[in-house]
Formats: sequence, C-alpha cells, structure tokens
Amino acid sequence: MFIIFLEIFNLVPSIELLLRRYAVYLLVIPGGVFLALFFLAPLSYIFVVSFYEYVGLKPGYIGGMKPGFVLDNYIQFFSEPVFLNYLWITVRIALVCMALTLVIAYPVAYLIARARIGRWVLALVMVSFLIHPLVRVYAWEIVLSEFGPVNTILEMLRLPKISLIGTEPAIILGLLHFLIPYAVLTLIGPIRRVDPSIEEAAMSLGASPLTTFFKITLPLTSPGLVAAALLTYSLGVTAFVTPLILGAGKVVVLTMLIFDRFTDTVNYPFGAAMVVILLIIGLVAVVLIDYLFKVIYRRRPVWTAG
Amino acid sequence: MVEEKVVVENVSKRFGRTVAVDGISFKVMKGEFLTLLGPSGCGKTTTLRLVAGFYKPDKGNIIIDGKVMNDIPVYKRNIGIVFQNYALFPHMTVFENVAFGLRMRKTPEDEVRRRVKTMLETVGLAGMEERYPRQLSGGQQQRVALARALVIEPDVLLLDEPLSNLDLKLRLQMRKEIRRIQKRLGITAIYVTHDQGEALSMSDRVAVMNQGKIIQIGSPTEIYEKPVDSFVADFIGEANLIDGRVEMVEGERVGVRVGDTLLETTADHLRLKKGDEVFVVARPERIRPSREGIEAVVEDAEFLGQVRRYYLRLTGLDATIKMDLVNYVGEEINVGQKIRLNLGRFAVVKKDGG
Amino acid sequence: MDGGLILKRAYVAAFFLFIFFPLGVTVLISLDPRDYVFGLPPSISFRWYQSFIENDTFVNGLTTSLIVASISMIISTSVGIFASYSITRSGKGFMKNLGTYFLSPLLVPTLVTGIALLMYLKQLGMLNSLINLVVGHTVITLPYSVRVLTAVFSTLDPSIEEAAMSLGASPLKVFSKIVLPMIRPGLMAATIFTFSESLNDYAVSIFLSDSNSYTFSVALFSYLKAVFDPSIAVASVLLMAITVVLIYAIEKTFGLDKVVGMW
Repeated sequence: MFIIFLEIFNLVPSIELLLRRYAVYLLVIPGGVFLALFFLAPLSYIFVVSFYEYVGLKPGYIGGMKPGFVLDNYIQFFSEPVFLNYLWITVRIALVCMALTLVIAYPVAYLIARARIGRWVLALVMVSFLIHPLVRVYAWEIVLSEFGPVNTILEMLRLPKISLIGTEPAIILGLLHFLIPYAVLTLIGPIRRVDPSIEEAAMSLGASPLTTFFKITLPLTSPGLVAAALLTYSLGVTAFVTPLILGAGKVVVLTMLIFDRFTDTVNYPFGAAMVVILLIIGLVAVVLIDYLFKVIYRRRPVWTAG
Repeated sequence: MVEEKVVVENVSKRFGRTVAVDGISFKVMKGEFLTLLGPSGCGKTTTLRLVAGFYKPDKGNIIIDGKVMNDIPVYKRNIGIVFQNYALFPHMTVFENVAFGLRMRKTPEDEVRRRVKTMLETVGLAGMEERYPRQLSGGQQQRVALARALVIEPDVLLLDEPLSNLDLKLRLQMRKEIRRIQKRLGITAIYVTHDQGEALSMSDRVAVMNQGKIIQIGSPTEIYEKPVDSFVADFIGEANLIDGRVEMVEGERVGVRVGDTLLETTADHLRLKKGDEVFVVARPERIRPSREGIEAVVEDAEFLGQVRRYYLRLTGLDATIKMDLVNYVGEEINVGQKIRLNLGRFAVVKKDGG
Repeated sequence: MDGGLILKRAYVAAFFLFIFFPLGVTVLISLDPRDYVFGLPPSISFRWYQSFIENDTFVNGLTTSLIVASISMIISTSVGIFASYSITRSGKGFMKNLGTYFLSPLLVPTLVTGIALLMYLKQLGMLNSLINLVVGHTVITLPYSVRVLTAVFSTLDPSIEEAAMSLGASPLKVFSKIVLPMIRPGLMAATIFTFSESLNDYAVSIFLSDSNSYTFSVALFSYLKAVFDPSIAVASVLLMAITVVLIYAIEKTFGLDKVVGMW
C-alpha cells in the first residue's frame, strides 16, 4: 500500500511535465465543449425530433412532440403537392439569385482585386455587407411600395406603375442586395491570386481581352466561383426575412413554413422534418454545382490548392 | 582546470519516424566556442534546441554545469539564444527588448538600466534605446538580438545560423564582432551553421554533423587537415578526392599509390593497413605545377578574379581535379597541355564502409 | 480603351446606385415629417427620431442587444483566443481538423441553429431568455473570432515566443507579455467581427427571445411585420451608423484588406 503511494508520489513531477507539454492542446477544451453542447447536440436533436410523432398541443408535450420513430412528417411533406410547390419556389428563387449574383458580383470583385480605386470600392462593399438584413428589407419595402420612389419615377416618366411587393421579383431584388456583397468578398481572394502576368502572357500570345478572360481568368478563378455559387445558393435557400416581408404572404418559401411551425401553428416534429429537408436541398445543390463546375473546367488541378 | 560547461551525453531525438539526432555526445568547455556544422537536415538545429530545452531528449542527457537538465523547461534554464530571424519583440523598443530577460528575473530597475546600457555599448548600439526593431537595419537587429541574449549573463549562448539573413559584407563583419564579444565576456557558445567559412573562422572547435551523427569534432585546422572521411573532406573547403591504395605503412608514414605514382604522407589517426582502398584529399589551392609527380592534361581553365582555376585530367586515372593558382608567376599553362603536378600537403581518408 | 474606362465607371456607379439607393431612401424617410411615403419629404423633421427614443420596445431591444452582443463578444474572443492559439501552435493533423470543427457553425444557416437551440434548450429546461440569447449568439460568433484569430496567430513567428521563453518567461508570461500585445490589432478585429455579427443576427434571436428579453432585431422584426412606422427608418439609420463606425474601426485597427474572405 505504502509502496503504491510512493509510486504515485514519484509520478507527480512527470504529471507536471505532461501538463506543461500538452497545455497547448488543453486550450481548445472550453470552446470545443461549448460547441459540442450548444451546437452539435442541438443540431443532432433536430434530426431526432424530425422522426418524432406529433400528438397535438397538450400539457407535457413540448411542441406537440412525442418521442418515437415515425416517418409521418416526411411522408406528409412529400405527399402534399402544395409543399412540393413551395419547395420548388424556394429552390427556383435561390437559383435565379445565385446566377444573377455571380454575374453582377464578378466584375466588382475583379475591379477591387485589380484597379487602383479598389480600396474605396472595397470599403463601400464592406459597408453594404454589414448593413443589418432587416434594414435592407425595410429599405426595399419602401422603395418598391405603391407610392415609393420607383413608382414616383415611373410616373414622372409617364410609364405605368408597377406593384412588385408580394411577387418573386421583389424577393429576388431584396436577396440580390443581400447576396452580392457576400459573393464579391468571396471572389476577391481567388482573383487576386491569379498573377496578372499570366493574363499578359495570354494577350502577348494573341488572345483578345475577352478570350483571355474566358480562357484564362475565369478558369483560374473557378474554385472561387464555385465557392461563391454555393454560398449564395445556400444563403438564398435559407433566406427568411426577405421573402417574408417582400413576399407579403403571397409568395411562400420553405423557411416561412418552418418558422410558422415553431411559432404560430406549433408542430415541432413537422418543423424539424422541414429543417432537415432544407439542409438536404442545400447539400444536394452543393454537390450538383460542384460537379457541374468540375465538368466545365475539369477542375482539381494544382491551382485549386491556392 | 578547465570546466565542462555543457555535456551532451549519448542524446537521441526522433520526430515520428525520422531520427533527427542519433546518439550524439560532445562536451563544451567554459569559454569555448563550439560550432555544429553540417548540411541542412543533419540534426544540428535539433541538437541546439535540445540544449536550449525546446525539445526533451528521447535518450541520453543534457548536462549544464554538472546538472542534468532534461526535465527543466527552457524558461528555467539560464540560456541565451540568438535566432536565425532574430525574433525581436516587435512591440517593444530596443531597450525593452534587451531588458526583458532581466525583468523576468525581477532585477532591480536601476540595475536593469545599468546593465542594458553597458550591453548596448558592448554591441555598439548606444543611443538606439528608444528605437523599435522595424526602424533598425538587419545588422543592428542582429546586435539587439545578441545583446538581449547576453545581458542575462547566460550559462551558455546558443546561436542558430544568426548570420544567414545578412548580406556578405555584413556577414564577414559580424563574424569578427560576435567572436570578439564572446571572447571578451568569456562566454560559452554553441553556434549552428551550414557555412564552413563561418565555422572555420570563428570556432575553437568544430563538430561536423551528418544524418544525425557527429562525424568529426576538432579544431578548425584538424578538421581541415585531417578529415576522418570523405564527407568531412568534401564538406570542409574545396577538395579533390582521388582514388588510391595503401602500399606501405611504416609507423606514422604511409605510402599511397595513385596511378603510377607513390605519394607519401603521415596519417596517424586512421589505422591504415597495406592494401586499404583510400581517397587522397588534395586541396586545389595546394596543388602546383611541378617537374615531377602525377601527370595530367589541362582540360579547361577559368578566371575567377584572384584565382585562376584549372581542370586537370589525371593520366591513367578516370578523374578530373581542380587546381587553383593565386599570383602564379611560372610558365604559362594552356588548355590541352600536358603537365606534372605536386599535390602539396594532402590528407588520406578511408573509402566509406572501409 | 477610353470607352472601356467609361464602361467600368458606369458599371461601378450603377452597382452602388443599386446598393445604396434603398438605404438613402430610408434616411430620407426617417427625416420626413409625414407618416406615409410619397415623393420627396416636403421638409425636414426629427419627429420620428423623437418617437424612436420614446419607444420602449426599441429602447429595451437595443439595451438587450448591447448586453448580449457585449457578453457573447467577450466569451467568443476569449474562448477563441485559446482555441486558435492551440490550433495554430500544435499544428498536427488532428488539431488542424479541430479548426474546421470550430468553423462548423458557419456551414449551418443561423435559422436552423436558432430552431435547434430553441428545442434543445426548452428540453433542457433552460428558460432564461437572456442566458439563452447569450448562448445562441456565442455559438454563431465563435467561428468568426476563431477564423480571425487563427489567421493572426499563423502570421506570428513562433521563434519570438521561444526567444521570450529562453529569456526566462514562463508560458503564462510569454502569453501576457509577448503574444497578447502582438495580436492586439487582430484581437480588435475579432471583437468587432463578433460584435457586429451578434448585432446583425435576427434568426437566432427570434427563436430565443421572449417578452422578458428580446434583441433590437426582434423588436425591429415585430414592427416590420405589423405596421408602417417611420421610426423603423430611424432604427435603420442608427444601425447603418453603427455599421459605418465598425467598418472604420476595422480599417483603423486591422486593415479592411486583411479581413476580406474572413466573413
């Protein structure tokens, strides 16, 4: 007994040594545990709940959910055409936004990466990037409203008024305003990494600026484009407040249905199932877009490392 | 009696599967300047970091002043280190940088002031106290790094390729400067470099390392004149390695046959026997044209400023050697010409594995 | 070439017109004395600013937001410092993957994070909405602080820390006297990042707020859904002003250029 005690005592200096040696590894523990408890666990919980049974709002059943394993929620979603239609609208809006965002953002990012005025343009893009999402939505609500500036201008030009609030174009406009800065900031880095002398070399070999752009610059920045596309698409699919306010209840997307199931018509299991569906349509598209770009540019050579 | 300041005893260190240091032993005496010399990846920096305490040896002991230091962390050893990139604290002035070590030792403020001032004078930076590192030239930053390491009066000063970021002229000047200060303070120093010029000109002793082992340790002259193998011979200075065979051993005197010529030299440290395959190590600057000796054909000549270098093909041997002539005033030597050579003072090394 | 330049300028102008026109209109509305939208304001008035200040919902929301943003900012940056330092300094395979782990909340839409936390915290019986808001905001801001700080730490030369250690500084001293002062600009950027991210969040806030504690975003959201009230424009102007100040602070402390791609 005494010998064991002595042995432990002997271990003490080496424990101190061990601690000192691995102290740097121990520093991740607070943050790591926090994220495990309040991010990974809740996220996994959503998947679990999506298979729970809905028993209606009764005392003792938070969110009307009863633990179990049923596919009811998923079956309900996919068997009703109205939900599938909402799903399609969600994806459609996100795809249109993604395409428009890339086309509009690329030149701006290029300018920031290459031109001398880039610094100022960057500062302005940053400002627009950090503007509160609700502020943007409110601004567009006014701009597009019946007596708002757009219609005032149209009236001055003696053109017919338009009422966009409650339509998909209004949502798309609002989302573009929100997404473009994201795309610009994502694209700046990849464009900067393309050595301008590569473009100059192409032009010295007889390529026109346009050919240079499509044959050299664009392929070299394709990893950045993919990243920007994925980002804008997933932000588009999961956008909530913009479709809610600018859609004025006339256009319904998935996030609004989800929001409803957790606030007004409470049904946690069905809501959780729709969250899972939302995450999946995000992922499916991510894989698809990635594949598409790979096919177009036969990606995955060395430059992707950069 | 000369004190043993640092003793490295059969030390090994591996990283994953690579053995960085493989059972090396050496001693550094008080006030001595020892250089670890070798190509990159030979384990010299790992050895230095083991002495410093950044790594703990897997095997063996690091002993400083008679105490085993294996489990003592860096900050509890009393060691000064000059890093390759100086590693000055960018947010501190020159004064604060140099005072840092003293402050960590809770030295009284007036003593800190006095010692920092003296040390900055020693390294020739008086008046620079309030500058920040980025406002200094490379050479000045180097001096700050040196002062910072020395002001704590370390048991041993470790220098890790400290001159490699300086331009040639400054490098030559700093060699002398570091050596002067080290001698004046009587400090024990271990210096790591891959530059044999630095090693030979600065050190009391040089340890030549390769593949995690010390190949040879000795004074610069010893290493230059009596390399123990072809690696050392080739790594230190310019060397022509010419195939030969031992034909005669009489005490210290050894006769080596090269082609049809028998060359004589002394080689007491190699324990050669008759019939051993060896390399004759001939330094290009010691080879001279001569009336007799090995026959060679001049293949090419280069003008290198002070030196004129000739490439000579040895007759009857499959070897081309270099000969450097400085201020040569003899007969003109032309390409294609046949000449005879005196190899000058040369060394003999056994062939690898022999 | 000249034509190209004009085209470039026109493109930039059109781009910023699209971005800033709606925001400009919002500023005008906030100064418009009328309570409906029609053409340019006939005169300038601070009437809505007055009503904004007197609006308890906005003031409460703003107070809560500042509290939540400050606390989660402090937690995120301090936890983030340790995690990032560990990730960059250990440099082994497993620890590199931990970097991805810390960034993972960025991959999940905040709406989903909010819902997940709502259900989870309810199930755990955590009903204090202020605490829940701080937890939620820490989850979404921690990745930003880790991202900025790992970038900062990876530019630090480890031999500077080794030099300090060789001069007798214990690991704790090295951290407080050498590492912390050197990363100060990056630390500023991280705090600004996390603060603005917390302030801008609405998705997590909506699910974790209740009538006791609700953030400014939630207050704004409830007004946005309900009524047309130009004091929302005043709230917007306030948020825009905060944004400009934060951007200016980032530029001054860290440099905007360096944060590109960190969001």
